Amino acid sequence: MKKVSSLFKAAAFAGAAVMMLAGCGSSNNAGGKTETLDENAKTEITFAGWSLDTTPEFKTLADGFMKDHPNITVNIKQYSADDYDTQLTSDISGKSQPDVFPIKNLQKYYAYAAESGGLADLSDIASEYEGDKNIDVSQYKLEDGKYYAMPYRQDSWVLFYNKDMFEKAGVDAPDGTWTWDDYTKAAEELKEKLPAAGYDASSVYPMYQHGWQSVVQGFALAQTDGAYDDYFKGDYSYLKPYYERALKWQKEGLTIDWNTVNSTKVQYQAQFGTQKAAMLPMGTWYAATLVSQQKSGDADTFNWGMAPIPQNPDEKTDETVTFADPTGLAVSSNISGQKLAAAKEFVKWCSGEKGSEALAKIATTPAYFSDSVADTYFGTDGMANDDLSKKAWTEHKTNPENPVGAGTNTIQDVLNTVVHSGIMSGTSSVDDAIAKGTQDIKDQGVLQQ
Amino acid sequence: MTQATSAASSVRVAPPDHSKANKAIGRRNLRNGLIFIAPNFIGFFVLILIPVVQLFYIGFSKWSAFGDPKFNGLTNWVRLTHDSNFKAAFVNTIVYSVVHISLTLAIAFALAVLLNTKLKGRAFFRTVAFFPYITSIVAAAQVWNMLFDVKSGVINQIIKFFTGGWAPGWMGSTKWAMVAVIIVATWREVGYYMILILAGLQTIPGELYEAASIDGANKWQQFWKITVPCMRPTLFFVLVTLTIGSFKILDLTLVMTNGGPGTSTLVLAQYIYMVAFNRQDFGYSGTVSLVLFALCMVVTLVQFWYNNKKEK
Amino acid sequence: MTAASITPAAGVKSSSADIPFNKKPVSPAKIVGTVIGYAAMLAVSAFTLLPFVWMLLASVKPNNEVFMVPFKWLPSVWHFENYINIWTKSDMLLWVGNTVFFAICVTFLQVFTGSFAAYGFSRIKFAGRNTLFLIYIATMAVPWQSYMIPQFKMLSSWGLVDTRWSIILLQAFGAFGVFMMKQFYDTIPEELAEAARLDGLSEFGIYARIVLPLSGPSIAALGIITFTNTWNDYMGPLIYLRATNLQTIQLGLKTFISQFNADYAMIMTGSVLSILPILVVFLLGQKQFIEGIATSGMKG
Repeated sequence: MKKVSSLFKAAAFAGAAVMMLAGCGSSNNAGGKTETLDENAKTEITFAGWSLDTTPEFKTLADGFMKDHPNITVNIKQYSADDYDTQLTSDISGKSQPDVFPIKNLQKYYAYAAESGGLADLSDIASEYEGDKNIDVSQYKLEDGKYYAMPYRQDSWVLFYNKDMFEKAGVDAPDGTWTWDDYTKAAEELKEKLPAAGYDASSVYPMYQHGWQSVVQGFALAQTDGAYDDYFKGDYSYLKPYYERALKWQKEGLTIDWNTVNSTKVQYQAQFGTQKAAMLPMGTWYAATLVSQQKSGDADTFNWGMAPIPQNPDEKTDETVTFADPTGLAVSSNISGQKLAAAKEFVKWCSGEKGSEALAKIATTPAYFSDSVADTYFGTDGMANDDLSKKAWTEHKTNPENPVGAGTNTIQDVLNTVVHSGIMSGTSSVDDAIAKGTQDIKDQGVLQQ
Repeated sequence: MTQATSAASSVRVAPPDHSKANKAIGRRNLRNGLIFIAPNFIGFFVLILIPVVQLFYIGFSKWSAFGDPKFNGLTNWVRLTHDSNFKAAFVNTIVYSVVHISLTLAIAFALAVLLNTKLKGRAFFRTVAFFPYITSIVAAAQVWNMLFDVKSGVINQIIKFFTGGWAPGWMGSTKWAMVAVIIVATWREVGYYMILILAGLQTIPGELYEAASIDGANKWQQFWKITVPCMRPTLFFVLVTLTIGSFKILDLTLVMTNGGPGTSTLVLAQYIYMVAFNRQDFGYSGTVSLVLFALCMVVTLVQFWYNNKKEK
Repeated sequence: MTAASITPAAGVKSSSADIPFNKKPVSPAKIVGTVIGYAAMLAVSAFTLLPFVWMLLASVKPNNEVFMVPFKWLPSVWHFENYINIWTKSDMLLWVGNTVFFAICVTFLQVFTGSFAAYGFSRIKFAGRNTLFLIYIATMAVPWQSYMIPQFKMLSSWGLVDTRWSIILLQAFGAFGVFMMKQFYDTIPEELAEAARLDGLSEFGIYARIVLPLSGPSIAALGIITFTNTWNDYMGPLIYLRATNLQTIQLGLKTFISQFNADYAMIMTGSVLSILPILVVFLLGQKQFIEGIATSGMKG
């Protein structure tokens, strides 16, 4: 064992002797010591963002922060929205990550935070936000009690619906008390009545279920009692009722079938935006897109709203349970001193009320939900602002899209490739796919014993 | 005919070997050889060979891409033996490669021979044949997915006309998705390999054909007695790169089917990428890479051995 | 090896009948055959170009219609202004400039060092030649995504990440060019070099004066392929480039995709534009093939 290891190292260092000199020996800043920020010192920090031309949030945050802290300059680097995690993995591996960077999804957070050593401890910022009812930072807490990221966006899943289509068809619009069975019933009624209301029967559907794994599994996990424990124990039977419903919708022609969605790259924005679907379960990020597409003419002009997401008909809860993954910001562990203090200040600013106000102004759902932030958000031009939409946006119990742990990446991937794709494409039955997925996950050796 | 074939075979005769007799020539050759190779080899060694060698350690270790890999012996290899996704990917890769290689080679060769004649408009057709290779893969995949659409796709409408209603399920079917991928892959790469073969065809001296036709050899005989032997080094190159390229197929399945439905079009290269970047399990991904590497090398070495035997 | 089974007369007859464009009066059947042949080639061409046509049409569609179900070939509104807007809405000019720079540098280095090394492998018999060559080919059998991270760590430790050097170094020394050129050199008759050697020409002289002039089509082919691959490369720049002023065309087109939305019409517009430079390179390189036919090639 030793021999192979040293051989490898010899090979590695033969070409990379300089590695030692190149200053990758950064001090891992241990424990959340508070660096004092010198506001008068000129400081530059780098900040990663994706698709900068089409995603204004990064520039909004950087500009807002620089206005409050004139001596700190935030330089934005361009990353890819699609392959962000591939780029970030390389960066952290080569110790060349930017000073501040987004954690795009919670699924990858554990690997970055617990295994890479590339993220600075942000527990001191978290302690300031703990107990603040306007922000929930708990999803970034690791088993050791430390935090390595802070949320700056907290989108959650709601039901978008086209008010005009419901009205014309004469079907009762969502009232905030729906279960998935009520959702099915309304869809069946729409299917029957929409053609009479002048909608083309061959291309207009009552609902649009997008092809993502989370559209089925996210709700099953969040709305079933005990599912988060079952997840690491290898019991995925909680998925079954959700898949049976999804297949039923597909079979009855209430939504475009999954194979078509997948192979023709159907865009949910186009389906809902051009009134090809009356209902769309989707994350709140879509509100901003819809507003801007209605302005640009890419989407039709119609009345729409957000309703609380339908609930699990097999379980009774008083509150709306939905899922949502925060988008967070992390700080590189390669920096120290003034730079680190500036980077942390930036993260704190983005998560807090000021950053959230700035984001709400561009119709982006922020992480800090104070009343004034909500007013700013619903005051933006073109945004739905009925009471049900406000309720859907603010009042809900949000569970994470998936639990965070050592096996998450593998489990999610198998549940997607084997279970989700297998069932939705019709290539295997619900039971077979779940059984095969469970076996595959066991074979990968990532389950808790 | 005799004249032609002797001319063709004389091309292959190696010069007399003096090096055994003269050590000085051996040393001079070594020096000259190294001088010619050095500019490329230095870059190659440092930038490619060193990282590649590390893979042979990574494949036997646990590694999340961060820090140093931890050696874990044969653990990954034991995992391979009962990994059903790996097995599916392995079989899919072989099926894809066997069909894709034979189809592409046959069509590319036929096109190259055709376009090497003084056919009118050959420059135009040559450009057209190369177009699929330069068209954005996203656009290409999209159009093909449209054409393959089960209900409204043009392809199934034509098939239904002949079969009276029956048509394959293409992208939604575990049996037909791979067929669709192979068709598109062949469509995409034929022009590329045609260019390579064409470049090889052009190095064959025209006199050989003239001599052969004077001797009364027909086209078919000329093809087998002149074209194929003279083309052997080029064909060998095409065959090796086509084989390795097919075993390593990734981008097309990623865009067209993403490995689905189920695991019916999951190939090894995609599994490697998936395990590494989706599951953050670079050690195990390295193990699968080594299997893919071994597979490529076995086939390549067989081709080497066969090529050397034929050259003698 | 002899054509004993075929009488000379029969042979001549069959071969002359097979040769198109000969001086004999053409039969009506032949004309029909030629017409059918051309019709078939045109049909194949149309079929081959179909995705490109779709791309062209998609580039002038409203964004929401690009992936509309059910499909429509023609846009409801023609957005020809996309071709003007893309230059102002994005840094297209910068992306093209960067990509041209990378493609030219990589193609030059790959062709130059590749053909040089290939001559060593093909024509000079030195100790360890076959082993070394096999190592070259072996690296081609390793999927890049599996040694991408070790390679990145190495270049990162040299401080080359997010610089122009990273892309050039990454792509210029692949085994592909060496392998390809070696195989083409193997087709050049050894006698030519032997004669020159007897005349006292050095190895370098033989390479420069005899072998290189003969390898026009193959250098053109390698040049076209390297240029195309560098031009269309996505993963390399994705992993190594971050600064906004270093973005390449393939990275740039991806910036039309944000986290939840995508401007597919713009992506298609950019894709159509990005084909043009490759087409120019291809048409230039193609001349080599035409000249090649004039001097050698099959006499039909």
